[in-house]
Amino acid sequence: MITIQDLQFSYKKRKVFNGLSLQLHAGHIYGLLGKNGTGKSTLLRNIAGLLFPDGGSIRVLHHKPGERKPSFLRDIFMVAEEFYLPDLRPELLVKYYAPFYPNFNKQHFDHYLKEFEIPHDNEPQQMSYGQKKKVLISLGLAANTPVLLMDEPTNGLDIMSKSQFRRVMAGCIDDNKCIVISTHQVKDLENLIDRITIIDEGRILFDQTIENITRRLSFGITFNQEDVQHALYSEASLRGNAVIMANTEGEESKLDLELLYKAIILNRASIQSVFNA
Amino acid sequence: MNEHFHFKRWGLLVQKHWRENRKKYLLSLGAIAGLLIIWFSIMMLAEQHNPYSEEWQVSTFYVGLALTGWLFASLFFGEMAGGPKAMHYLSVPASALEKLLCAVLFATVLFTVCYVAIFYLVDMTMVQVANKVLPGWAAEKNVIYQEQAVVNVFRAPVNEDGNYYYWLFIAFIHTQAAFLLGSINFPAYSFVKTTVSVLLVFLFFVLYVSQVLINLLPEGTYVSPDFTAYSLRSYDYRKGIKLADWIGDTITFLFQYGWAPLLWSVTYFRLKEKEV
Repeated sequence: MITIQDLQFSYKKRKVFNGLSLQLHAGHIYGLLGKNGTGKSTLLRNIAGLLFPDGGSIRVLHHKPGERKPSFLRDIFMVAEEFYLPDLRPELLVKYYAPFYPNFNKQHFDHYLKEFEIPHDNEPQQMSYGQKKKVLISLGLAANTPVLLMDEPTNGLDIMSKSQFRRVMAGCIDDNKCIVISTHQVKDLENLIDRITIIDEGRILFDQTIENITRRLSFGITFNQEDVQHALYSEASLRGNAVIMANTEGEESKLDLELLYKAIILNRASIQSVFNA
Repeated sequence: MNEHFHFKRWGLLVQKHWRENRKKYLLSLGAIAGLLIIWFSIMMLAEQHNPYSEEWQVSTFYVGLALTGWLFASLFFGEMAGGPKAMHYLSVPASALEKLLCAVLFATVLFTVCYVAIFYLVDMTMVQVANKVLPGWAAEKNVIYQEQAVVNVFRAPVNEDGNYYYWLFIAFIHTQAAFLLGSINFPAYSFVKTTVSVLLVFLFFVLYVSQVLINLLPEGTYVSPDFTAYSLRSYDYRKGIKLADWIGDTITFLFQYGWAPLLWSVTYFRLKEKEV
């Protein structure tokens, strides 16, 4: 669905991507993780056709995004981190935006607004930043575009809203959609994404499905110093030592996304060795 | 569906643009009406025996049209300055041509129609007010009051040679296109930067003709406004160079009608290559 090959991109003198290649398929929610300033938003904007690559190629549903053809734009929706929501009530947003998206579903939009507890007749001036963001997320989901890009969607949402967001997202994935969520708040994506892509300094550090990760790694808390010494990564916490071990016995453990992220950033080689084996 | 232009999609874009901006546009038109009323009222106080002469009405119309029109056009793509608005605008599923035509429709066609309507509404009202109020005052002061009339700002006075009002209007359309281009080219301080750019282009043209071309040619002077006829001064006034009429006609036509389409074309490509 999205094929990126040898992507080169720089902002004037600052190189962001130097040969990044990546394939994203329909039917998945991808978590694009990375530190601030590593190029997550830049990658999403390149995919959305808002920035043009200096080299390499990007194909989204056989389109070249930079051409920004209407047939491409109606198949992609981006919820930007810093977003703009027109000064219209939700019902008017649907009236004026739905015709641009052939698969827009008004019932879905109503459902998402209900989940987010946003009244239909809310005036935009009365809405908070978080409420506006939830309206935009609802609009993006209801547009039912094959590609949905979300840049830090949980930024500015309160705890309840983050929970609503996860619930809404969990119910919207289907086999024809490819959802890419970029965030540095990894906890917000737990139990939501099914593939993790970590980028750092313009290159892919790690790219695995959740299924593969939990099959190869086990996550746990231990007081046993021997376990800590054998761990691929460990971190002291109030509850004991949080560890990532190689899952040699096929045990099931709950993925700790934040711990995995830190392990890959700080000790990538040992984690990667498990997947290369 | 055509990727470059589809009438239904363009219609949707126009509707969406109007619905999102109508409050701002209506307030702007109200402000223009208010400014015109204030200006007409000041004139009524300053020139009580003949406040609204033909020249004054025409000047007010064109100066007002140019200033408000240029300001309006230079703000049109102002949303390109801010990241979120620009991202939103560029992501709307319509082609660059449809977006440009929407901009031309609002910034040039509809703005001009609305300005003309507002100007005449204020003009007619104020002329009537003047004709009711001022004769009494003139009689009191024993001065002659000249009956005021609404003028046609698109038709030259009968004693004038050539309809230069028409050319003023055409010049407005061209400069409006320049300010529309400026609004996408200069996301910040678009009005000021476009004004300076237009002046610099004009200055360059004047200097090119007066300093460069003149030095390349034998001493003499241009004898036609389209620069296709040149008279040699040093030899004989009857000697000169004249290019074929069709060249002059083409240059004149392009100069008169070519600027706006050229500038809109540049705007189209700037819109296509816009990154955010």
